Amino acid sequence: MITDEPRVRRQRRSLSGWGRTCPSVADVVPAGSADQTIAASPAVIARGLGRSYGDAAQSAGGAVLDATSLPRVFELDESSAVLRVDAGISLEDILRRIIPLGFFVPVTPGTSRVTVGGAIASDVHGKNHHKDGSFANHVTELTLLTPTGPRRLRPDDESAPFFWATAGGMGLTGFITEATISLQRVETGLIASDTTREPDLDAVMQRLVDVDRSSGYSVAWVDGLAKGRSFGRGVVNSGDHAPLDAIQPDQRPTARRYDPGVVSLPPLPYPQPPGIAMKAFNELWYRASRPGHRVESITSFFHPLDALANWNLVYGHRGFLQWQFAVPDGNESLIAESLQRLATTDGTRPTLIVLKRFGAAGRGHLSFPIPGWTLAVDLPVNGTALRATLNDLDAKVVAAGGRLYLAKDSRVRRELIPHMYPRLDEWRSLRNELDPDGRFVSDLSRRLHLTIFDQEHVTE
Amino acid sequence: MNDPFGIPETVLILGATSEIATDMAVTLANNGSRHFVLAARSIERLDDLARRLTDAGARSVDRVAFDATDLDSNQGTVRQIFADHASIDLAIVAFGLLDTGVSAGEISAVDVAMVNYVGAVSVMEPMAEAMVGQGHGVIAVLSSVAAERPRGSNRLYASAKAGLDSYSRGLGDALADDGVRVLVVRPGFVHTRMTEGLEPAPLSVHPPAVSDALMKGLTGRRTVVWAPPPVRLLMSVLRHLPTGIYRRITAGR
Repeated sequence: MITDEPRVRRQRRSLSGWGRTCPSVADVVPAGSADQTIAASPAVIARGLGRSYGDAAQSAGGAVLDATSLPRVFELDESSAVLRVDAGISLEDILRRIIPLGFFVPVTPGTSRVTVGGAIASDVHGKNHHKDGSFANHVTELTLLTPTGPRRLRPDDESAPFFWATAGGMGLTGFITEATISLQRVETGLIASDTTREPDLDAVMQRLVDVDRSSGYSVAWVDGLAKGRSFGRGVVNSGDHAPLDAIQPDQRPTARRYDPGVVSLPPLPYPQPPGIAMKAFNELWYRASRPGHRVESITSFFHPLDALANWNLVYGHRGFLQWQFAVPDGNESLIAESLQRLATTDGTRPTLIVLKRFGAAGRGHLSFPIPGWTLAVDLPVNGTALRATLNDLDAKVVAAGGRLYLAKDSRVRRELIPHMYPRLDEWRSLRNELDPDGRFVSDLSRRLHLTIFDQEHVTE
Repeated sequence: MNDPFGIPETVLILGATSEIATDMAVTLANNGSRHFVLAARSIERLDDLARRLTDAGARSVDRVAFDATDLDSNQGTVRQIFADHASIDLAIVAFGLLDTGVSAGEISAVDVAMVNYVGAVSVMEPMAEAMVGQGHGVIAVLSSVAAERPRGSNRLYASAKAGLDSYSRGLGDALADDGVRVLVVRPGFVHTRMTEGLEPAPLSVHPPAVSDALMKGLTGRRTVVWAPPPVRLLMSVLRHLPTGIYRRITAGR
């Protein structure tokens, strides 16, 4: 059969997020065919390294643009510390090339295996949010492929509204193909860090407030499985890039080395680990976190889980959720209540809990961080009792003026979204200008009615 | 889409007036399903269920006239339902016809084979096609433990369900890479209008037990679920009994 259609290499594949719940099948298309694909597909979304936990980078029955196949662009201006890259490059690959030259990315999330496009679309944050804000704060220009043509967007000129609709816009404004980022200068590829163990949640929070005054990076890990008085105990890590003179002279020649080792699990359908294993993991983490000052690697400080490439398999074949919210200061009790509720929900084992303070909010309409606290909890799927608990807690987050992180979500009730993101309608209007036919669609946007002006509002 | 707990947002039920289907629908609504498309021979008989679903939190309930024996129009009906809805996340094939018991009346042998097997295949083929296009979906099929081994008295029903059961498992295998899952639900004896007047078999249950099996099937990755679960063991024993013993045990049933 002869067709006029230009040949596009496409592969039908089942895709899911990092949490491995809710898979759907779509045509995966290399980024080189983005123009034709956007023109021809009624539903298209970009996908990077698949690290969003829910359904943001999949589009059932549609086309998914594989951003990691973008042609390689890498232009570093060392005098101005500005880097222009294709949006499909990972932070890990960037770090490999820039750390030896004395640079560091402006913001890194808890894994280095995200693409620049994904980092912008989710407007990711890192351990320096209290000081430096989220990723998009450090992007000076990006190229966006839209159904109405390519756009060059900047944060402060007449294209700014579209830039900020794209930063945190979950890939729904178009396909980010290139970005220019301001880098940090660093003397070494090491972190001078301090670790403390705190006996309870109040102490963890107090310590986070204290270290944020002086440290550039901070984060707390909380044990949600310990019983009684130890409930909410935690480990607080803080640190800054180590200056060269903080390093032992004999180690200075290798101080700019960045070479994260990685192992993979064979891709088998692992059973969900029993509660006792998860408790043991938490106990071990607590005990293994030696208090004190040390100089450690980028990977051990920022990306400890990256050492096991597919650690998401460990939670078992039913997958897991990550529930992450942000609330303003004054809602400390909601954090304690959330942990209590989750720990006592039938079948639920909150396994990895991370607490952090946020600084000023970004300018993105759907950007997640707001000043205050953020809590992230890994929750292996085991029974449906968790569903009701999370629905209750979501309502309390909204009542507290907080929100959930779309890059992590797989289950929030859609009625809550306009309350969590009050600028949603403004974002929808901007999005509609870029994509009037609504071609950019993901399972996330369908589930939450993100791109359509919606009539379903909260009634209770 | 189904959420991480396996709860579908939009549910299509063919044969929605059956008591098992009604209980499944209400259970799904109580667990968070929001949109329902109910298909049955007489849509007037769906009023009560529609009200119960709305009370349980459903946002929309559509009613569609559907007759499983109307083979010429089944494909069109199913295609239209999928065209009218952004996505059908779970489709339940719940209609069936039993030729024994007080409701049997004038049911012919061919009717039983027609409704339970041919009728089901006629809707599941277009359903599968539409779900492959969607890139996701679950088809839940009401089979029966009778599919495992017929008795003299239920040979028509049992053989038709055996055909349906076999077709469904094959369909599930065919669609495994397309993001579509077929879930076979095998209830034992269920107390309903359909079985009224029949002597209950061992391990008999009421409709909520079948809903439990469905919900369990939605959250896991199983392809066959049983209601109640132990009936699986019972059938496994019965299936392997020598004919003579089997006939003696089932005589008069």
